[in-house]
Amino acid sequence: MPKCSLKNKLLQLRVSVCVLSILCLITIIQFFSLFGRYNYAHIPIEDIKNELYTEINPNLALKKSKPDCTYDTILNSKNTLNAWDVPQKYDDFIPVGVVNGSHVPENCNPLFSVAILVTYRNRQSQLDTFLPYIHSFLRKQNLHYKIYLIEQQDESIWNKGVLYNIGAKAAMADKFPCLILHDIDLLPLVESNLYVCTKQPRHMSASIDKFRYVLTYDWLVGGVIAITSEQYKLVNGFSNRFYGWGGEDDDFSTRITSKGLSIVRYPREMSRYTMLLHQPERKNDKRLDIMSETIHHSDKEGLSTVQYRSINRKENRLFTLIGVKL
Amino acid sequence: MVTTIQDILPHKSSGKKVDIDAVLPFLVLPGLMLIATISRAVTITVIVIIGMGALYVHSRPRQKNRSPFCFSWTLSSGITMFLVFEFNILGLLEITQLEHLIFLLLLACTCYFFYKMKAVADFELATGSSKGKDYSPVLTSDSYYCQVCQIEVNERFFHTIWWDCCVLRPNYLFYLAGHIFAFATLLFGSNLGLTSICQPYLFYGSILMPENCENVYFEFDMALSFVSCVYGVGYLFVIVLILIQQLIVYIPKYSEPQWRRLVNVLNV
Repeated sequence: MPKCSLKNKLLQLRVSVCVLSILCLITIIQFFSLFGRYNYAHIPIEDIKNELYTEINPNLALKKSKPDCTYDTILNSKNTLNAWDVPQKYDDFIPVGVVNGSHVPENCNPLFSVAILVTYRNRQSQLDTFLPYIHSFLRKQNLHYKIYLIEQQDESIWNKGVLYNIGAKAAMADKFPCLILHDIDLLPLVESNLYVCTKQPRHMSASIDKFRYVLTYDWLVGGVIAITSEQYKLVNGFSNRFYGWGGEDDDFSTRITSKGLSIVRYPREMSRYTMLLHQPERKNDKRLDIMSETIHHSDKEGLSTVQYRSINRKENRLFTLIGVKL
Repeated sequence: MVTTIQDILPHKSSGKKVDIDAVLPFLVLPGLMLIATISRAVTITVIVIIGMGALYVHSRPRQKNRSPFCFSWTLSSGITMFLVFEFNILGLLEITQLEHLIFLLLLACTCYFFYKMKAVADFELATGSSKGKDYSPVLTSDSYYCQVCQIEVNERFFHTIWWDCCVLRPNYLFYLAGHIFAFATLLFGSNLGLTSICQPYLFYGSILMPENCENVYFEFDMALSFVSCVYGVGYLFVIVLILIQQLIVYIPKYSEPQWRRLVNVLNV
């Protein structure tokens, strides 16, 4: 009776051996399936200059008498801030040269125009840290930039994708060639992290302290991403269907790759960010379902189909506020 | 005593009964950890209760205490923390393969040394030279009667109920090495865990340390990882105490013959 003897053999197995083999099996599976990366694929430092997308806003009046700005010193800068040195309070911040959230370098003609899109609701303390910090950071980079703060001004469920699409429309209407989609809780720590677009969409926040400075997965584009306006139109922006926390960035990532674009990054030493602490948002449990549903619908819905109830625009000194009611 | 699959199946009455004491820790400890995920105050209470319980069990008179409860508790702690690490903490994708590999190597060393410690003790006490004479009229100077094992043992150091094992000269080094590696494994593992869950900061070079552990109770997964990390740190504390005790009491005792030999050589 071969079957019976096999059964008997199984029954005679020691429990400790069984437990040990199950644990080993789990270990092997987890070892090869779950891990982050320190040394992710990135643009070589010497190639960064050639990869930059040089384009300025046609609305910007340049003076012929000034020279073009140079960016070598910024790209080669070794200056970096420690996370604990990030000021939590700015009592004496003077935004010299900032008008309507925009800044143009005084002594030279910039080669890049960048719209920084920041989505926001109900995080006043983070905003108070973010705005002065990012202005002081960007003013050193010889860029023409403008900060758009897109605020969801209602109590319905948070929808970041819609807010980004609305912000992108406003920035494109202002003829910005390059968009940087920026989480309000992330602050760049390294001076050489030049805030401009590259020829391919660039994921900028690859090394965040909250994530142990590890890139959690290859297709991650959450946090801070730089993308040209043309590419944003090509991928039809973000999906409008992700309510609540999470999912929209992974969907955006598949939109980018399905259009034949690739996601590039600066090296790890240049991509360090610190995350401001906040109460985490409740995760959207349906995000995986929506993702599998929308995976082939990027042409049908997104930037082209964004809907909202009302929108108002207000120029502040440190930012241009776009208030949205969904 | 070897427990097979047959013994734990309920419908087969094979004669052997599974000791309830041996199974209890595998239910109680995960249960306590689940309760501790409720809030910070509950976590502190549970950890303190576990600590006091361990202290009580440890300080009880140990004659004939051959209950496998304590040994099961040790195994249960190890397995629970390991599973939480493998499923929850790795699931955050913040740990690199290299870090995971180092952790696994440390863990493998720990398991190997503790296994050897028990295997050597079993061998020595069953057949080896460490077993004292069964009917010795007088105890010789290097022979002790172990109340727990109820056996006379040569060169006995002490009996550890947490490993259900007599520690003697032949397996003392395994005991020591096991604790040193357990210290390293827990230190590394809880650091990896806490820096993944909490906001870390660069401590020195590329070494991260956890800084701010607010918001860990917001999500169940996070809270469970946090609780087992705290439990791991508690265990770490106990191991430090054990290592200090070894340093003061037993390492001098272990190395005494060598010293004596050396002194004898010098005297000649």
